[in-house]
Amino acid sequence: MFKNIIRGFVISSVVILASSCKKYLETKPVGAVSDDAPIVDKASAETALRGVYRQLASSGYYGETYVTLGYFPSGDIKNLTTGGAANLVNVNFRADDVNFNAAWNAIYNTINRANHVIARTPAVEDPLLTQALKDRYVGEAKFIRALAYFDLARAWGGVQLVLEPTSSLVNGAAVQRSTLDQTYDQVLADLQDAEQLLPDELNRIRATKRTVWALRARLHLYRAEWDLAEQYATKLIDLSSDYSLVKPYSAWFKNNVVATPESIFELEYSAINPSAIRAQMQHPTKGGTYRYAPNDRFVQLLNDSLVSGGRKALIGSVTQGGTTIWFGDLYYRLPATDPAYIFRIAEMYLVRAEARAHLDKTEESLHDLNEVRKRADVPELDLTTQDELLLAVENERRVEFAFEAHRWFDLTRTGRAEVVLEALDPNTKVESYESKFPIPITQIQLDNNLTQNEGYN
Amino acid sequence: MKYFLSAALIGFLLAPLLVEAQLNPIVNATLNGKIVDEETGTPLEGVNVAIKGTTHYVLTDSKGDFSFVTGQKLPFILVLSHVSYKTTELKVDSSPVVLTLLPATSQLADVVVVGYGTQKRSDLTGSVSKINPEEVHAIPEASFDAQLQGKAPGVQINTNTGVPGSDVFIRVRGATSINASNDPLYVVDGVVVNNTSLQNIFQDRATSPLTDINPNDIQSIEVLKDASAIAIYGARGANGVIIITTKRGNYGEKSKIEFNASEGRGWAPEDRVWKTTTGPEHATLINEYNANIGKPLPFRPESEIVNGVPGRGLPGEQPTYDRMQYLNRTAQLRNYDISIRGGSQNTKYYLGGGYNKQESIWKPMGFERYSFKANIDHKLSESVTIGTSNTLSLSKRDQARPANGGNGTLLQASLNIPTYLPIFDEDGTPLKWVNFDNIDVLTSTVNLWSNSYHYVGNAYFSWDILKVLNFKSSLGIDYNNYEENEYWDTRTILGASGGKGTQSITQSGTIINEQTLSYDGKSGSHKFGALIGNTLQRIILKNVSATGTNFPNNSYTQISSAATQTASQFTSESKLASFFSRIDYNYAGKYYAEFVLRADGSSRFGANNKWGYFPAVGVGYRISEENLFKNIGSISNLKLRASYGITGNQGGIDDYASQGLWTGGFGYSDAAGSNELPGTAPLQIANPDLKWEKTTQLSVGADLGLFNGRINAEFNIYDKLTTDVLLLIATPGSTGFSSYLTNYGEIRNRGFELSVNSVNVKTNDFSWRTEFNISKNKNIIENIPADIPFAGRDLIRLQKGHSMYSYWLYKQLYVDPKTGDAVFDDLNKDGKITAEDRQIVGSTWPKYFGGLSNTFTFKGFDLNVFLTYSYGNYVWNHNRMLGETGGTLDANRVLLASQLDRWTPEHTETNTPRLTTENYSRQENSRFLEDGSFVRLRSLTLGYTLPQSLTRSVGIEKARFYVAGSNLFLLTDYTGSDPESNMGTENIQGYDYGTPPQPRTVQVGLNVQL
Repeated sequence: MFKNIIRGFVISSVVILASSCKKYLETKPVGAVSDDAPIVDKASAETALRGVYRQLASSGYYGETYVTLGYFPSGDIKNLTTGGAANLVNVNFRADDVNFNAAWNAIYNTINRANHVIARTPAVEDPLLTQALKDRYVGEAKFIRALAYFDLARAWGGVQLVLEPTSSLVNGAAVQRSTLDQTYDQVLADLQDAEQLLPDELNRIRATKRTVWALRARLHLYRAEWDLAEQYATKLIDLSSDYSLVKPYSAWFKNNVVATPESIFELEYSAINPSAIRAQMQHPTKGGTYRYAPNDRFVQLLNDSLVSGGRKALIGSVTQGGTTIWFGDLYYRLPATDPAYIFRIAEMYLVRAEARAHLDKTEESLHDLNEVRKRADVPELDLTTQDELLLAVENERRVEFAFEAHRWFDLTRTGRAEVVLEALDPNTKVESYESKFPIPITQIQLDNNLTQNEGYN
Repeated sequence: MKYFLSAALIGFLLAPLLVEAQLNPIVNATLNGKIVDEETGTPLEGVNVAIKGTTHYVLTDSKGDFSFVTGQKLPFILVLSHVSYKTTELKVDSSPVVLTLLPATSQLADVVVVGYGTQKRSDLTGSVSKINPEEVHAIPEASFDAQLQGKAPGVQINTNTGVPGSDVFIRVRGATSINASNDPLYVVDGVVVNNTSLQNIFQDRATSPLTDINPNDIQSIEVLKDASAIAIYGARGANGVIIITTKRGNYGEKSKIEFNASEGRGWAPEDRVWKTTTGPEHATLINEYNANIGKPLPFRPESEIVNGVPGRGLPGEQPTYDRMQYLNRTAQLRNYDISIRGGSQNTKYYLGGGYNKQESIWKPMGFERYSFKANIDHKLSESVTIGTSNTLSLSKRDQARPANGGNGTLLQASLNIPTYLPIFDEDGTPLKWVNFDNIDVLTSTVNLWSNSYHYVGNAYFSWDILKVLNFKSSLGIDYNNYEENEYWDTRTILGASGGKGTQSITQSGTIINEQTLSYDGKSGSHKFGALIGNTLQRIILKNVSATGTNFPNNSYTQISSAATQTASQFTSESKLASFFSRIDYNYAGKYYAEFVLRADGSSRFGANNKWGYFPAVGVGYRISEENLFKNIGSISNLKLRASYGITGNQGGIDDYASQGLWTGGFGYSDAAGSNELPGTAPLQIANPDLKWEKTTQLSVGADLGLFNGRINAEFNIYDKLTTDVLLLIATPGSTGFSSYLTNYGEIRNRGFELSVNSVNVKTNDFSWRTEFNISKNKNIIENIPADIPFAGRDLIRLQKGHSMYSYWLYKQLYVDPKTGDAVFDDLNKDGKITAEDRQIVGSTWPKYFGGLSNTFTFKGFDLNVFLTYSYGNYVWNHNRMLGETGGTLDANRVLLASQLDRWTPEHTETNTPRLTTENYSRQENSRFLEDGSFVRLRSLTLGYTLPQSLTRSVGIEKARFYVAGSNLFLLTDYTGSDPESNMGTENIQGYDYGTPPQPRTVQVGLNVQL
């Protein structure tokens, strides 16, 4: 009898198990969903698009790293920590500097997310997702993709252009690097599409037709297309009821303000999704980790009422143990909801001033420059030659955009990095090949199609 | 699963009905006998004598005699058991008899716990190390795994840190995996327990859930190492299996109370504390650096103003402040255990309670554990036994972030701040320098604390269907509720936004149901055993966490009073279904063979590869049983063993790693000023082919016993090849993903292990025993698709042809005595030093490691001297890297005293280059990778046991007093705080990120048995 019981027991359990095992071994995550069909209706298209913005605002990109790549090699910053920015502030670019890799990955991640929205949204069948909404979503994603490729190009030169969402990692398509011009052409193509698709309306934290204009103004400036740069900057400057140089200078960022009339495009942060850049520049007495700071020379410059004026609000100080310690103060909020400032109206004035200087519209150029200076409470300039104007614009941008992603890219697009930075500090040596960042060595090793920029091999 | 449980339940219910028949024996035989110690011939009192298969037993009297009246007919098998002796089964065919018992210390008769059963050591074909935890109890580690260091050959153990209750680095025969876990599988009383920290709030030390188990409740620890031993654990056995058996009572044993108490102190060894520059030294170096690069000297008279900044005073005027005194303390160690064990004819029990407290030598960290243990077994009848094991504990930790990285870390607030900067303002306000917190603020308050409530237990039903056939069913649970808290007040960096408080509760629950059917038969000289079984396992991990910032003031610490509140949650589940079988056969105790097969199905793996099959075979040959050897009196045992098999690994990977997923959490606003709305993004791409990591292991060994077991030696060599390695293959950033998990790559571990145990001297009054072991493991990455960077600064790199976790550095060859500049190895000979010249330098794997223990007893005294050692491994001295920045960081980092050795025109023979920007621009410098070889006096214990004649008169069976010291000396060339310091994350080894060194301790203790 026992044997029969056992036999029955074993057999029945094996049968039960075999039939239920398959089901037993299936688990479904509750924190994530299958990627079979991530964009299927209006709601999922909206959420996917917000995911693109959040990545644009991530710490590797506009939340910190990419922005700092714009101002670390400026001759104006000192590094305070081991590793980190030590080699960047000395313009000693190395392919194994993790900052480059972090920014590179974050930007391409943004592009992949944008590609999903661009590729999948048009095919969605949902009565709530009207053609107008589809156009808007695709337009916003195309704008972000344009910005991402623009940011890659001005930092590394021509890059690999990936325009489809990644669906498999096993056999990635072989993509060769494009030239700088080809990359900028792609940026322009996306902007032209976006310009068609997006509405002409005011929204300072999302892409609209006007945001496209702002990037076009900057793109044409970088490509030395002075007429177009002037034309697109003018489109925004003329919308004076929506965009204006707020006064005093600090009015666009102090007192926890967001989305002031100064702002054409900024990124939104919250207690849940805080900005990373604040902690890095603030002193520990302000809850920061103080990893870098304006150097003594730059502090002196920003405190100079003839050069900087109201822009001294960009730095702050604490005095303890008899020592005064200075730190950057553009990002200061707690919790760190400081916006990432991508396009301000002041930039449009300075873009136009520079374009007009090249077009020999000296007076108009000077006018634009002085608009920015008046707002900062520094004396207006009276300049007559193109060279004087270009130098003045360069110097103006140095203080106006002290902690935004401009200085290094300005110096490389004008080819003046070596002259300017070596004059600031005799210990700084800028090699000509350093006008482009090195492609991160990790990426080179992972992708046979990716070639290193000249001079870094 | 549900059906299965009900089937098991029915089994439980039926059991009482099936046992009726065997009660009320008929008296028809009498057996008289005497039991003596096999080695000394002394009669043994209190030996439990039972006939196998019955519940009938008697105890021997003070002369060792017993008399048995039984209903069984001769011949029958007697089971003799006694606490201090090996439980022995003997066939008796006549009366009276004289039987002998081997003391528990003799190895041959040793019963070894293996997967789903036990085996006699002499019958093993596999490689299993057994450790008696009593030997290492005096070592002040909270966790039993840390206490095993140097005890088990082939098992490399690093204690990682001097923070009690933290993670321990354990590798059984090397490391097989890159992105999955390399930790062994832990099985406590048949329950596979979680050994991964449940910590959720960021800290740079991980806690170990194994710390929740009181080492004093453990009877034995077995480490299963080779394929035939671990294949029964199939998909999870590849990294070795550690089986923990807790103490149980004995049937018919008189209740026995045991009490242990110890008190101790621990402190940082004086020679292991970092040496910093003084204020004037720091200032001199900074000035020298600036002079070398042509910049104004910062330490100049205050009246000299440059760039609008006044001087800081001359170097000689700088003060020196000692921050380390706020950190270090003399730590308190305290341990109390009490246990009662015993049994009646049908019931046996063990009850234990313990309290353990260990402070860290760095304020404010500490560990406290309250534990309770209850093991009960009951014979429902002669053939049916039920029982349960229960461990319940509460571990409380006062925590901190000890090392580097992130805000609020102790070492940054103390060691890393230049010593000339004051700690307080004139008015006593604590000052913050560099980007670090104030050390007094961090060490005077507990900012992080946790409570771990942990239950491990099971219940079983065992039925001897026939004398040779047993069915067993069990249900086990490992439930851990880990509650952690942080509160950073406004004086800290993290609390800058009006204070920050978090409470996070992580629950891990494992349920295991297991059935085995085992057969144990004998026919003539053929002995045959078989086992089949199945197990179902389900693991759920859940977390809910809330954070508040912006509290009204520092008196409000509850998140509900915070102005800003955020919350998060996650749940993760995995399941395993497995079937296993083992057949073992031996002929006349001479030839052995064993076959194991396990099939595992896992929810973690891809739809195409849910099931994996793991076979193994082991053979043994006891040459000493041959007649030829029987004549050689000196060789008491000689056995050759070999095993070959396949095991798997799936630990440490994400539960949903094979699925293509999108996830949320990427909210963004639609317009300025409005709330964030949800956002989604791709998380990972599906890999339906994802499967087990597969380790094929060949192991060959020999056991040798000499002079009647006085000397025992075990030698094993092995070759483990791991294929289909679970690997996060880095993908080009242009894909938008940084990596994906797949099976790719091969890793090989080859090595040997040798252990020798010897009773050197044994007389009535004096004995001297030596245990020695040495192991070597060579780890090589045979194949990976591309270099894999690890750790910050890409310091570690996995590269084909090298060991895992090797350091990828600029190799500094020397400092040019003429120029003082560092000269690096120009690997590609292009005349430039670029990232392409970084190379693998040194290995973090020891060439040899092991332990040496000597035990002396003289009358009532006992003395144990236990050394552990490691030779040939390199350690990355991260704090030296941070402290030798050559002045480039000015007031923003401490300079260690070692920086004073820099090149100067007067001091040209050095490895520390001249102070310039260029010379200190490469922190990934081989100079900071140091030889980590060491010999450590792990413990020294001197005990005295009062004569039994004295204690028995007051009813005390045994009373022992002892003094124990640990880490009393350390021989090493390593210049950091401790060569065993290791970061403890991501499988990384040999990365001294800065952590308290292992304390030097002295304890006094008492052990009483009633």
